[in-house]
Amino acid sequence: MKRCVVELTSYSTYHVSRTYCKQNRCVPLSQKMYPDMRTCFIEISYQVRTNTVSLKYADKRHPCWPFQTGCPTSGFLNLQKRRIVAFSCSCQRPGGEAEKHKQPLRLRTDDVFPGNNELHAQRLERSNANVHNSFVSAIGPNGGRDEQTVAGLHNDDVHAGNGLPTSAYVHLPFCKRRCFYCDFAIVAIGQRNDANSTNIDSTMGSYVTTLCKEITSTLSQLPQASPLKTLFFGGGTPSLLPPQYLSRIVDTLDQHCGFQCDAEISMEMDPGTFDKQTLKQFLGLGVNRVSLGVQSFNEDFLKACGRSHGLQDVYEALDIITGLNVSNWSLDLISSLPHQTLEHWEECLREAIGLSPAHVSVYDLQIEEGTKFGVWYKPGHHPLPDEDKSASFYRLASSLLREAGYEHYEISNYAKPGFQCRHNMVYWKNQPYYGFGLGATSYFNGKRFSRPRKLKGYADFVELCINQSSDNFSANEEYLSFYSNTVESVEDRVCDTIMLSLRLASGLNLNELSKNFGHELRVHICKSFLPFINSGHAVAVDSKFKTVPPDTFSTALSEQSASKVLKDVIFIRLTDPDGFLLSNEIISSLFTDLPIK
Amino acid sequence: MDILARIQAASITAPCLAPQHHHKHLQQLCFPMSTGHHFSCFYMHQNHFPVAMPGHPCRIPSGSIRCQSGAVEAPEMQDVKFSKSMLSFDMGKDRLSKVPASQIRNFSIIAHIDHGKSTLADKLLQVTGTVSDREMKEQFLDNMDLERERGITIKLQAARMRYVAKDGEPYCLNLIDTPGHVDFSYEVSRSLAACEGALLVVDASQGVEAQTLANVYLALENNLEIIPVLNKIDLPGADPERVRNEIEEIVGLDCSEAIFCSAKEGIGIQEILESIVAKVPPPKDTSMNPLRALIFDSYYDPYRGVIVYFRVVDGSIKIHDKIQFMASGKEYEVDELGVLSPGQMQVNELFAGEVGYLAASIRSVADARVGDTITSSANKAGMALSGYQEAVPMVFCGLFPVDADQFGELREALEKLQLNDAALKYEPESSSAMGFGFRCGFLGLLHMEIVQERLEREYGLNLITTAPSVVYRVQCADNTVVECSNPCELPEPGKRVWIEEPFVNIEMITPKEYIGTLMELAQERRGEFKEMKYITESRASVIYILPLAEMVGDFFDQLKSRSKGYASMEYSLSGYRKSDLVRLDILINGEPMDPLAAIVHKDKAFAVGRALTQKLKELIPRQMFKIPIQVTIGTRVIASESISAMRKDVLAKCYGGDISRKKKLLKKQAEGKKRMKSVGRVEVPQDAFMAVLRLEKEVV
Repeated sequence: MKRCVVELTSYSTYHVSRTYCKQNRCVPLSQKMYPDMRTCFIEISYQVRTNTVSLKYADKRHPCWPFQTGCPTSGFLNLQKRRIVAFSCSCQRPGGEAEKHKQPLRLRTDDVFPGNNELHAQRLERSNANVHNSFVSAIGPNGGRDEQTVAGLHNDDVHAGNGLPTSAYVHLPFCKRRCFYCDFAIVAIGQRNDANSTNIDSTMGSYVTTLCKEITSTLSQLPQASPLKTLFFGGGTPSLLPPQYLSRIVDTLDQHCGFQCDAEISMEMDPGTFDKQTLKQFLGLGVNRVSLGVQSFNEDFLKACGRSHGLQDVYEALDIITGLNVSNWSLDLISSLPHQTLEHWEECLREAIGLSPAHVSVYDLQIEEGTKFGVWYKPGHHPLPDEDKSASFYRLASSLLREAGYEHYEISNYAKPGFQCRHNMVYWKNQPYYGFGLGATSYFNGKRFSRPRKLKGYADFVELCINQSSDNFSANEEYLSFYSNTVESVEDRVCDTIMLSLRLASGLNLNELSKNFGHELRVHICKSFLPFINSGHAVAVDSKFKTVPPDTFSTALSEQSASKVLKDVIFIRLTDPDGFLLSNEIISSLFTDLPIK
Repeated sequence: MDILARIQAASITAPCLAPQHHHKHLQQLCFPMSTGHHFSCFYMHQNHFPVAMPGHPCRIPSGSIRCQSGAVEAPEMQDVKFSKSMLSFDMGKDRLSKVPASQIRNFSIIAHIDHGKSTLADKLLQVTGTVSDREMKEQFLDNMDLERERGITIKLQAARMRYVAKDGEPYCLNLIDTPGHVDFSYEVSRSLAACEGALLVVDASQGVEAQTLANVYLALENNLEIIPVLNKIDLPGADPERVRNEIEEIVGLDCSEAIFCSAKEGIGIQEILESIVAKVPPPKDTSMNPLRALIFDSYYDPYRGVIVYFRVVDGSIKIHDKIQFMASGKEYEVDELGVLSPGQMQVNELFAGEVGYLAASIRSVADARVGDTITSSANKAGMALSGYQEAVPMVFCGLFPVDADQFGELREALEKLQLNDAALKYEPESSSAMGFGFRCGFLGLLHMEIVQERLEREYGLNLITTAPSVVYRVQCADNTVVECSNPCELPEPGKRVWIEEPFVNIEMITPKEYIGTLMELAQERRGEFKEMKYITESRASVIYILPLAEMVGDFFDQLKSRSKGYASMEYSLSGYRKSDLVRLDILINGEPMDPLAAIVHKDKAFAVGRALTQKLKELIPRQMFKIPIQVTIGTRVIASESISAMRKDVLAKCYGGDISRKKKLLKKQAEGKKRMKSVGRVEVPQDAFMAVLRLEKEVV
């Protein structure tokens, strides 16, 4: 990988570097300005006379400038935008002194993303060395920090749910139609044509307006929102949203919290809903990870699922994505579809592997109440595969994808090294996140909150949010009733931690557990795990990533005083695929055993 | 009617039986005793089971007015408090006026299920103007809602009607209702005891059924004047002449004056009323004697205390009188006195021969049980009315809270239920596998189901119920007799000489084409053929002696389904007999499961064992390892199965929006695990415990 350089030109080295150093992750640039950090070169200059900042975009490969059409290589940013304001203020202060420092400030990406490039190399080495492949695989893109965690040193993820989120989920509910298995909060708008185009645009437009109001209202109430590390556009089918609408959302977020320079911005896209131009515009807005909802490489299955696209659309979508050099893209597949056989499934997996996505999500079909499938089919009964067959699908996916170099880093997710979905990792590490939009769930200040799932209800809710920020008593009451959910109890937090972390290949971090919930719980949980460790469904891992043999583990537990062995066990993780396959059973057993009422 | 309404309906009608000294017994029952012997004592004292009506413990007592489930023959004339004022103003007043005893007629209607008892009762109320046509409909609807919403049953207990006969005289007719379930047959006898006459309603196309007979005998025992009524003569299949002969032949009643009627069409109603006036003897005017009133029903009202329904036999009762219940010895002051017409209407005084209700802030139905005699504290009667009986539990089961912490709550809930259900007995029990719970005695299976449902729904208790059992008598080698209703307590094979079990006399009345299949059924259930007689050319009565244990299962359901619904049955307890019984133990993953142990006949052990293992295999969810299930007699394995290991249980997706929902799901799964009992490493769900109950079905 090339070592990339971001060049910042400023009249005041001192101030820029101070801004940078103090906040450590705050670069006075917005992510959306450069679709691909690795290839860009940007120059920033501040002009005292006009009180503006100018930026020069110096990458010939992507000669587009999102703020002005016609692709000039420099532009002007409004100083009202928070990040730039911070920057410009510090420049204004020392009068003529700034003039002295005309030297451009140079920053290496190493400074911008600490240790990123080295980490890639490190991680590859380790997985080659074959030390607990799945364990190591779970160390995210910020592997450096995880290592610190492993060593029991410092980790800023420990206080999950506290602190301000640096991740946001934005729900874009529009879909052409509802798939037969889907029970999400979606709004079906039908095929776009001349007759309904205006309607669709006005529905989407007013939704985006409401959404932006919610973002504004939520973020402006916070003392200081941290810039986002990850943003996820989920749906629905976000790719149905015209880019100018997406731009409004990105702008709003940028205005109120901004983005960190290495932010991951994911977008769910469905085949048949976008063309090259659209994707280009999305990328121009900062989207740097695409999750393509393929679901199956079989025309019949696509039809049977009620998908709005055919196989042809899938390949066209893939051409567009690869044509625009999107390297970080993911592919979704569904297993255990009605009438699916092991042969079908293998074919589908091989096709997926052949396309070499950076990331693959494999979902076992879940029959939800209120869906067409829910009416037609009964889990485990023909034409759905039975439990044994469905388990064999899972095993096949796990073995084929791992063979092909994917790390099985979460129960349903596989990634090439370095391409785990950072946004989703936030969920599984039980860290806080914003949720904006219809039916979206947020988790911050220790509260989980799900927004209304109907457009009207959502609009009312946003209205209340806005009134709440002004001093309106009755609205306040109503608002409170919306937010009546209380801070998660200790029990809930323990359950969340167990349930979420065991989805990851890295498993449950016992050091964090004792730090947050006390040493007794650690010992208790270890005891609860014992039968599963003995049966091979779970593995205890020490600080050197070595498996602790079940015998050693159980001896350690039987001794009255927590022995050194027990202290050495840093992680307990489920095995792949046996432990993962029975994760519900294991997690619910752990819940049953919890000492908390 | 939904299950809840059914439960409420039936539970309120649970009979209240107790001897004079019952209160002492009750207290003992409520507190720890050595073993379950006490119930058995009651049981032993019972020489014969009171004549019962056909019906099965698991069935809705659909023949009774109070529990009518069909919309067509709905209890349209039921009491509704809302319309009380209107009724009393419009037309109730003449009904309240004092009538000399010679103008009073007290009667009930006896009939087999679906022979039209409720429709006829409705019609009588309508024709006499007690309830207007318009109210019929409205009241029915209101009642159903009330039942559901308020959790009480407002049922027709009795209805006072005013009827001006052809002779120009106004008469006061009191219709007294009888409950319709075999579990509550004692109540029927008390209701009948409150009357002087009864309408015997027989379906003109169906003819005499088992319940008809049982009721007629009950009525005859109580010296009632019986007026035969052939109902549904408008139906195409009606053959009143044949049925009239049938009644004469089987029942031995003179049917020359039997009334042909169609309650639905209103045919013959007038004749019935005239016949009641003419034939049913008036009550004796004994209003000068000290007060004696017979309680024929009571229920608990949370606002007014127990509402007692009674018939004044001697003397009179006035509001604010001090009264005493002779069996329980409790004294109260009458707060409210009235008649039922059919709504409650207050009066100041009731005299001998009249039927009414009273409220006296009575705290528990146990203080005012059905069959008890009310007398005046000031002027006590010398003797109570005869016929009072103790409630005898027939079926037992263990109730254990899933969560051991709920033991106290369970005790409280049982205490509360007993307020309105004097027949419910319980005593603490502990089991190694299940922890602390109660061994409870019930009148029958319906009664048991009702209590379980109420505990779970109304009191939010999570219960594990052991298979129902009867009381066995074990002759031990050391010459002692041990009574045992709990298979776990059965003495070791080496220590016992023989085991006796209770038997019932069962009479099945069936069209002749089903004789074979019913005999087969009885035979399968270890029945011993006693007698068969043709009651008419096409119908026969088949009598068997059958172990009670075989009947507490699905015997009645089988009888009905095998005879396409045509057969009816009746049973009474016939006493104890030796049987070749063995105890089946169930081992799951090598661990014995005490609560699932069962006492069965040796000949059936293999079939039952097989059925049991299969059922358990079906009901115990797959677990993370393979589980063998075995059934043993002593150490000999007679049946085995195994459950293969679980393959997959995983949530595919869990993102930000899913977390709360998935957590709930997993917590629910964890709750489910708590509901299960661990047997060694295996988690066994509660359903598996009920498998023993259902196993007989599987065996067939």
